[in-house]
Amino acid sequence: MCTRNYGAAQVDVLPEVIAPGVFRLELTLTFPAERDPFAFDLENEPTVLVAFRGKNIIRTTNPVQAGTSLQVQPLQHVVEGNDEQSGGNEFYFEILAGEDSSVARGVRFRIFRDEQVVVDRTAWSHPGEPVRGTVNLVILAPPETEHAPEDPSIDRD
Amino acid sequence: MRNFVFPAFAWACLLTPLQANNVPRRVIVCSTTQTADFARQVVGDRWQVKSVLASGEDPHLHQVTANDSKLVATADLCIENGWHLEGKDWMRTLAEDERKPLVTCTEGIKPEQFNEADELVSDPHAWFSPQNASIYVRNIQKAVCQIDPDHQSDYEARTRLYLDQLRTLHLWIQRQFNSIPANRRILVTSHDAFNYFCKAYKFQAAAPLGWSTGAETGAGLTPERRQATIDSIRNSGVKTIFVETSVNPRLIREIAKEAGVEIGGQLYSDSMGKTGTAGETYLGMMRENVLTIVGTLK
Repeated sequence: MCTRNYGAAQVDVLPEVIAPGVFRLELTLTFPAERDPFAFDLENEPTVLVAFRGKNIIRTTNPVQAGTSLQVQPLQHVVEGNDEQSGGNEFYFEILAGEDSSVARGVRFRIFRDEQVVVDRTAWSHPGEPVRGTVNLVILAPPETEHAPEDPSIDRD
Repeated sequence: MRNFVFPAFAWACLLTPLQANNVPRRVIVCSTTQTADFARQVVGDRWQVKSVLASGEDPHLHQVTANDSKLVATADLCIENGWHLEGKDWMRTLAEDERKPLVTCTEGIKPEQFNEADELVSDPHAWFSPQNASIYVRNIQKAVCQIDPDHQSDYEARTRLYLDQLRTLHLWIQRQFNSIPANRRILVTSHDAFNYFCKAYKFQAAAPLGWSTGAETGAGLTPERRQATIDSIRNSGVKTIFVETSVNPRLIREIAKEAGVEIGGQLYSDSMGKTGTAGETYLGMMRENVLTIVGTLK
């Protein structure tokens, strides 16, 4: 009989380091965000919703005109790290496309750090569907300044 | 004959997790197969969902039996379509007799209405528009949450997913019908069940049997309506007409013969397909109907 031992996986809670700098989010709609007949709550469903790390940072139930730029400044609690796990800043967005929505919709999603663009992405919906998805901003921690001990196996001439 | 002993552990395997935990499940009793499917999408396995009508049965003509009363007696919640789809409001009567709460799925929908003999009749086949189906689902979800608020977030999450699926269905249907030129979008069926569907996807509808197969105002077959259907088939140049799974096909076959057109296939109308068929769910039923229509009309 074949047996297999399953060791308890060790999961480390990674410490969070707030990334330096001033961050700003800018969301530009290329279409009017309107109520959706297939929404869960017809009256109170947000036409535009952006959540950052689980908290809503933009939420409106009113129609939003095409071309409107929605901004969050300063964007707080942006963390840094080495990868998406430790330095991942996940945004979830959902923009309703209204009743007459048989074409694909686009939303431009830009994040600035000290007024320099660090993310510039346009998200597209399937025709007629809300624009929804996630954007991940990874802020890499600066390399450590301490010298690592030299590897004796490497020859240095 | 060899006896087959079904081992106890096999019975245990057949039990759902909730039953295995000895938690009695609440019961929803629905009038039709469509409303039962919507209810299942909202409650998952947490409730037992039962339907008075089986696949292929006609809600307009259903005669209530003692078994129906027994079934409704087990319910924590009853669900009807409303607008007299259930001939003589049999589901409402059953629920009232057993003093069970009742949800009317069509509540909040803007009805398509006919003026028949100075009486305004609301067409009850509202589920044929996926947008209306979303209202059915929301009505069921609200009622379920009132009875079982502890699991509200589960019901909401399932409902949200299903509403997304309804939206996808709607967009898919639009895309499919795009291949049928506007002047060929004429749907001739046994009874007037497809008005919401035709309105949503810009078809013209014609049917010899009126809005119900029963004997209500504006329902059933009249010689005038029969002749009008044949005339409209001839005048419009329609080549194909459709029978329905829950209506006797004899009449539409006669009309097809008389008008010189073919039967294009069978559409699910007041009832969904049997378990194991492509039409056993609302999404499947709509998908199969659309494919049947597109396959013959384009």
